[in-house]
Amino acid sequence: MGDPIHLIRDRLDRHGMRVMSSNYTLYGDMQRRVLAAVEDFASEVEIYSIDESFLDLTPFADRDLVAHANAMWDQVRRWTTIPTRVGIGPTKTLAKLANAAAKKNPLFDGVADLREDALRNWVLDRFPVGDVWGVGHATAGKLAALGVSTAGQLRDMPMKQARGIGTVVLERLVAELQGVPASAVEIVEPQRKGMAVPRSFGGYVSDKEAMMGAMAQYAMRAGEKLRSHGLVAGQLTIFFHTNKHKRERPQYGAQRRIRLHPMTADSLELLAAARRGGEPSWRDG
Amino acid sequence: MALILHDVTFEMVPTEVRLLTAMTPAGFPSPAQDDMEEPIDLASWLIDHPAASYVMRVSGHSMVGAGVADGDMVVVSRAVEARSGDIVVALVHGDRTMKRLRRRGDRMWLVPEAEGLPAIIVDEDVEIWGVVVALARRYRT
Repeated sequence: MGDPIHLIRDRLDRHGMRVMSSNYTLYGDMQRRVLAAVEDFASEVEIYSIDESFLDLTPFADRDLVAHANAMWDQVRRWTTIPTRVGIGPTKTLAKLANAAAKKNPLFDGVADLREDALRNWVLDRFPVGDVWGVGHATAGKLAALGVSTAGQLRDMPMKQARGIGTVVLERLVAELQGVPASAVEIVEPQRKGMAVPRSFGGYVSDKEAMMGAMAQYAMRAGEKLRSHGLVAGQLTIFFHTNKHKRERPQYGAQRRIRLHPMTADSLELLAAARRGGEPSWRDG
Repeated sequence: MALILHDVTFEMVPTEVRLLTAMTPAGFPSPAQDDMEEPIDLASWLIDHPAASYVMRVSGHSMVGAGVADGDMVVVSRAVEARSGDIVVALVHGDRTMKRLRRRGDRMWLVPEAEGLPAIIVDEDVEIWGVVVALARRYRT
């Protein structure tokens, strides 16, 4: 089984919104809060849209992921008042499908874990193929003509046939539904607005150069990620903070946003920007 | 005597101000210690948990008795547990208000800090939304 990936969708419902004004700044603010609340629960966070992110749960795979997701749900709800939905699966397509299932079926109580075959098959057999992430209207029509109406039927479609209908995209989708991650390729990414490369350090970092070095690595990694998706960035945010779980120690955190003009995916430019933002924020000690 | 809380968005941009130590442990100003101490970032001193903290501007005078005046900024945290004696932001039938939380007997009450206003028992119609953990005030520009 591949990496369990986890999709979270936040719904700014009326109850949560009542105490706030409604504007785009607020959405951005709430998104930052949600990301901060989930940070402790994932090794990597990929922001898919303003209210959806993929979380890499690989390091937590041997734990009870439903309990893990519930703890995360609680933390997001507590910090932000926002209720979320969580879908867990071995691939992004399945995680997204699990998320939709968590929404549709009250059985899941907001958290659907589709890593087990039996439950996954049960859900897939009842999931309309047109609702699968990446299946457009035209493709759904073609599939319907072949008698493929559920996600389960699409999963069982021979690869060659899938390629014939929907090019390589549909073929990848079939693989993803079978639990095989389409290696580092985004199947559909119409609204990708941001990505994060968060890390924790094993020990304490008290040396500025060490921190800048680490930051440089992340900037490089961010550049790699951008290029692998054929994207460029217009803005870079760097942040670092002391260990929040050691409250008895002095705390410090900083965040800087740097505008990138022109937009870039060049690691060296990202690195320079990260240094520009990071250096003045560093405090010795 | 209505009290209105306006949401204020904030960003944690570190800004440092030199902190002057004015007190010895005994509480007396010490001329020997009036050299510069560590710089302080006021925003992070007021807000120690940005992701779970909300800044609100207070309009109204009903919490003056608790030391919260018209025009003050308060930092409301959703990361800490409300205790008796805390000033809290609560939703009462969905309306947002600020009150002192007090235990009376085995029940919790929202107690106003102005005369003529009734205390409200904390029941299913009341949600303790957050705890006021800090306050910032400007006296003049």
